[in-house]
Amino acid sequence: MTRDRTSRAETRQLSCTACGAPLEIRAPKVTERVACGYCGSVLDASHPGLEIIQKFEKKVRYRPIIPLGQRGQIRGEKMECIGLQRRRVTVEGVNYEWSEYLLWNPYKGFRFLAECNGHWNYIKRTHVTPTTSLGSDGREEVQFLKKTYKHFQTARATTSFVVGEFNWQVKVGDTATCSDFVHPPYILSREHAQKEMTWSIGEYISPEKIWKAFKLPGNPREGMGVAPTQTWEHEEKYRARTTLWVFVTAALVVTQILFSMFCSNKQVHTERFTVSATDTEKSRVTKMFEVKGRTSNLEVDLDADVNNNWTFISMALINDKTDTALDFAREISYYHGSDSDGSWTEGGRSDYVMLPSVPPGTYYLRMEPQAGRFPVTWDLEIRRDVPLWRFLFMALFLACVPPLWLMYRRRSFEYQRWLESDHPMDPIIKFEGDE
Amino acid sequence: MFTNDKFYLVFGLALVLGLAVTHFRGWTFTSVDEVKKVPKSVRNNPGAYRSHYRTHVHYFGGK
Repeated sequence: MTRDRTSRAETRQLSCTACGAPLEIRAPKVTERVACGYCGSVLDASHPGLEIIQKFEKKVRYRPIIPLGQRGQIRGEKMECIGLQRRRVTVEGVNYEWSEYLLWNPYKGFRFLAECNGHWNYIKRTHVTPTTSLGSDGREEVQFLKKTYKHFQTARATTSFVVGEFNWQVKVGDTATCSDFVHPPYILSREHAQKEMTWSIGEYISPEKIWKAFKLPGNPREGMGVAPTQTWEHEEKYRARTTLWVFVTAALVVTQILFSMFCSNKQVHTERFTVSATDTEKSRVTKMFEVKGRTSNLEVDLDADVNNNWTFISMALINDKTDTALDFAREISYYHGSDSDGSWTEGGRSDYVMLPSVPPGTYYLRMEPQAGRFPVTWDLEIRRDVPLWRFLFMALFLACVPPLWLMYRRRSFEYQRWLESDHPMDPIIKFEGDE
Repeated sequence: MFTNDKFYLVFGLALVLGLAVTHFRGWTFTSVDEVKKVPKSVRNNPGAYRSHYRTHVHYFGGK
């Protein structure tokens, strides 16, 4: 028997036909089914006697996160939670479950809040049928409101638990083929149940907003993994960084070009030296030469006539005025021959050294050669303010590191997103034997 | 938009500035030993100067 007592203008207080528990119907004009939260029975709300549609021997309990009857403001809409449906898909023998909360506003209509592994989507039915097509990657995709939604997953969903009110004839065991298409943070879902097909559009919503909207106690649990519609928290930073990288690269190249154009790269001295075996003093000094302009680098080029020989020249660039010397050295060796593999060479006949920050002044170079055998002849050339390109390449490499790091993290995030889909991405590093 | 990534903005500016300063100051990677108070007599008697590199161990090359 039922008791019909209207406690508020929009609700009806009834008793469950199966167990006698009190039932509150919050949307009496549109509710078709009511699932009793006490015994799990599914009742026909359109029938005056609340005919039992489904009864359970075993009480399957699931405690809703959002209590039925709880009201909240979400996306600017005041909604009341009136029903909860638990659904399940089985993929490769593994069950995946999620919750769908039915929300209702007498003026706005129905909405859904889908919760899976701590991730939430705010969903509403759309009466516009999107157009589907095959993308360039062979995957089904959907064009909707100027966005392209990529196919995420198609599976057969079964209703495993219901409680509260529903505006369709729901019962436990109902099945539907569900296809999801994503364009994060949005999702388009297509549901095929018997002869009916419906489309819904949803948007990812953070758990904190749900808790705040419905004034739920405690804190929401952290979502597991990456949801299909979840946006990467660093997406804005990634876009800024990749744009900045272009500007930084351009600025580095322009800086290098400007300095290369304005560097004097001037030859300040050239001389030839020969040291023979009979020389008692093998050290040599150059003539005095002027180094002009600002403090800059100084390139010392050596070209020696070694042939299956080596020479090691210790050098000192001495400032005639300050009596300060910069000590350095270079070895030049060149060998060649032939064997069963053919002819070979090793080393080279020239080398150079780049002295840093040499102030202007009058200098001479003192050189002391050692060699495998004498005589040794070498040509010396000294250049001033020589543009160096290695620093540009180093700077370009360093400039690439932060964007590449973010790119890697973004790729990892997307990999996690698509891991549970019908189209998982290849891992960044594939090991031998991986499927 | 660039303020969304202040770290890279500063990092990029530092790279550009660093490159400019490196060129302007003539910095290189070569390490040199500075010797002060070199006697003027070295000009006429270079053998009197004692280089840091006067002892050198050469590993013979060739196949």
